[in-house]
Amino acid sequence: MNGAALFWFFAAVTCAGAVAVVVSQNVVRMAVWLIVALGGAAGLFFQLSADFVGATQLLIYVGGTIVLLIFGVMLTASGPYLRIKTSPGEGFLAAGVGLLFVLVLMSTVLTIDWNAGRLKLAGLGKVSADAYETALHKEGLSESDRTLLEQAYQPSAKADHAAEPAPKSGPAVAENPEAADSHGSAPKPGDVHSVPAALAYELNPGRRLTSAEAARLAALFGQEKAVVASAMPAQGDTIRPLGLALAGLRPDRDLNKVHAKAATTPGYLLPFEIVSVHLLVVLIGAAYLARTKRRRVEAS
Amino acid sequence: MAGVDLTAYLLVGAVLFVCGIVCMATKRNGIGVLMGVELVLNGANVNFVAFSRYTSLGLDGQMMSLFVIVLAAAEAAIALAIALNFYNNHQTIDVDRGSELQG
Repeated sequence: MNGAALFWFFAAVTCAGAVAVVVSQNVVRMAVWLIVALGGAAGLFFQLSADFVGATQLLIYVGGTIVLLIFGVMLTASGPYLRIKTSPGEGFLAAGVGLLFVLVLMSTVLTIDWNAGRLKLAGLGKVSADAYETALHKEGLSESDRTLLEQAYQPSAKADHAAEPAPKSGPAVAENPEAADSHGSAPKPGDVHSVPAALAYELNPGRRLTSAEAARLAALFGQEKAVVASAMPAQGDTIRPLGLALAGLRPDRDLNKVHAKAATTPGYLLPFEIVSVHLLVVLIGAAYLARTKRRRVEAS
Repeated sequence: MAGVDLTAYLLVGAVLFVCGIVCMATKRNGIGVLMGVELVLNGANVNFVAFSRYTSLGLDGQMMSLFVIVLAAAEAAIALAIALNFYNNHQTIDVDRGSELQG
């Protein structure tokens, strides 16, 4: 609960800062609001247990880039308060378009069920009846897990159609009660077993899962590695893995390899070198562009 | 962390992105346009780190956001040099005045 309150605080600070950057007309005020927005985003990064990225955001963005921008404001100011207004009509038009755009993005984000998508990516969007029953009747299954399984999955409609003509030949349907007996963990009467027609179970689209529930479902099916982030420490401490990844080593991937082909995952050595050379070239170019041209003016 | 999920972070990222786009489109001050670019890049960063926390993307998302931060710093340096040159030539930073290259 405490984490949720902190999240909403940082989210409100970030969004308010971003909106204030758009609304304010004075460039220096815009820079100050940008500091607020970027600092709030750094707080969000800490909330996401990305401690190194959050610290880098504070150091480089808030400490470096904003100072650079403020120097730009000072070097290009023609009066004490630089004010170049946009006309009100353009402002209203931009506000309308922006509002429409943010509504489109938000409806898209809210429509997609991200957690069900993660389960589908892990191959758990549709599970066979065997796997479902095994998970449902595992020893020591708690009551909340059982209700979660029953709510999250429903008998697949396609399997229902396939099962209707099945009783004439139907070895699969006839097999189901035996399988239930052979599990032997005393299935209660009146649970899902009373409808043995389904051959497969699929995710119930009417039940939106939280990420914790998705991770719990994956663990119940023995697929937690495919859904939960493999070696991401839940409580920060990302500096050493990030440093190793920059040096070209990916122990987090290699230790969790699925098969031998994935043993040599490429690290980030080459992108790291490319980006450092790029930074060097850019800084030399910026110094060349921004140099004073007084000598040429004197010569001419 | 009851109630906070991937969706909430994506919504914050969407707000940052749209604010940056509107800022880039409406500001006539060249430095203001640069600030809009920074907001857009930060919206992308929030999305990257959120995906890295809540999906199997793992460390890769954080690494991408680090590269984005470095790229934003480089872009700010270059664009400020260009803005200074523009100011030296035009005695103003109003981007509407930079219409000499119009075909």
